[in-house]
Amino acid sequence: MSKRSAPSGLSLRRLTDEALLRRVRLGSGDESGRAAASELLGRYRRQVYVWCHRFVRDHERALDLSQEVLLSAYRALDRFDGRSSVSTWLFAIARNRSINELARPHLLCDPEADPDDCMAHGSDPQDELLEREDEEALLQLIQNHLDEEEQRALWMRCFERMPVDVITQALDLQGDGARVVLQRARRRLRRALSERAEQEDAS
Amino acid sequence: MSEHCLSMSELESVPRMDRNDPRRIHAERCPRCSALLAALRLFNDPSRPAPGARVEDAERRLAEFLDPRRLPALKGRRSAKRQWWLLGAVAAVLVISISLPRFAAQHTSSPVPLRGEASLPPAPVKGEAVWNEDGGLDLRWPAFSDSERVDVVFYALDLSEIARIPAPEGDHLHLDPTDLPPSLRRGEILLWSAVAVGRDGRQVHTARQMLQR
Repeated sequence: MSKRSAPSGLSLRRLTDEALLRRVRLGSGDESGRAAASELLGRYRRQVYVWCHRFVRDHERALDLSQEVLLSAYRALDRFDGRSSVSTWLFAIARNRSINELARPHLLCDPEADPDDCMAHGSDPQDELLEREDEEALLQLIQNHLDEEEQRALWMRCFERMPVDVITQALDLQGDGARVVLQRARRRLRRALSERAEQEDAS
Repeated sequence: MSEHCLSMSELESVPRMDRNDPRRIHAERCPRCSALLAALRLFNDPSRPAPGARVEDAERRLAEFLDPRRLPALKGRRSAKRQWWLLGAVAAVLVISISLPRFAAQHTSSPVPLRGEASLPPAPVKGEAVWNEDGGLDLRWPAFSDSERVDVVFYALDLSEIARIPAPEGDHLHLDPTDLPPSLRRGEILLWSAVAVGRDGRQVHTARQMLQR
């Protein structure tokens, strides 16, 4: 029986992501599978690096993180069910890794977005209370008291752990856009929490 | 995360959804879904890197990293030849396990008890939980016979039920990271089991097993 020859790089470049995925699955243990996986993941290496660099802001650290993302994806390729595009699947992996890389900023005190406010409030006891609320309760609180832009920016900062300038970019805001939005959101949230505490005390 | 929040694959298709589609309306209003949508758009646009990025150098070095001659072999799916071998082995085990009790019944004086007639109920069977690289979760368990529906139930450590998710396939369930109960996403320890409800309302479940992200 003749052995299937490994396809050339040129022929692989012409294939769609789906066709490359099929090749990976057919030849997962051999050279043709590795070549297809390399071509497929290589198509997204720029996206992965730029995303990782936005988070860690250091070239070498971003390269390390990108390699981790691509290696995780490579190892999981034959289990990828194709329900989303390869790009979205890689986004999910990159997002997960980036979130693990950074500490979660507090909801009410964030030196990167609002150093003055942080100095004024110090460690806010309300912040500790908020940290104990579950995600659904926080979502409700944010939705009840903030406008849509503030909600989105605060969520990106606190749960997606995105740097402030990346939020500015993602939301197409100008200049210091996200910083201003985040400051406003936190002030409103503080006010809402104070009102809630007063109501609870009164009752 | 609310019960209406979209999975990653659904989020991807939001721009193609009808404006009145309730999923699109939710995705545009919900802080979590709209933030993820904006982040996904940003991921797909690497044309505006952050200051200090050295994109060409990164592309060259990542291409070297992905050189097929250097990549380890994927362990994943078995080749077709191996699968046939495995199927053959499974079939042989099945034939033996079916024919052996019959043979024994014909050649011994005492009848071999039928399944389910034992005086003590068998210990609940166990399922299997596998975390994916993307943070998703695959749960599998042996199929129940004659069930009306099967749900996967998550319990807190005090055994209070915290989430119940239908498993239409009956013997497995895939959960995207966004589908996971919030406490599991936060790293808390939960218990899970697959619960089958029969036509008469009777419930059977797999063993409750611990789970942590």
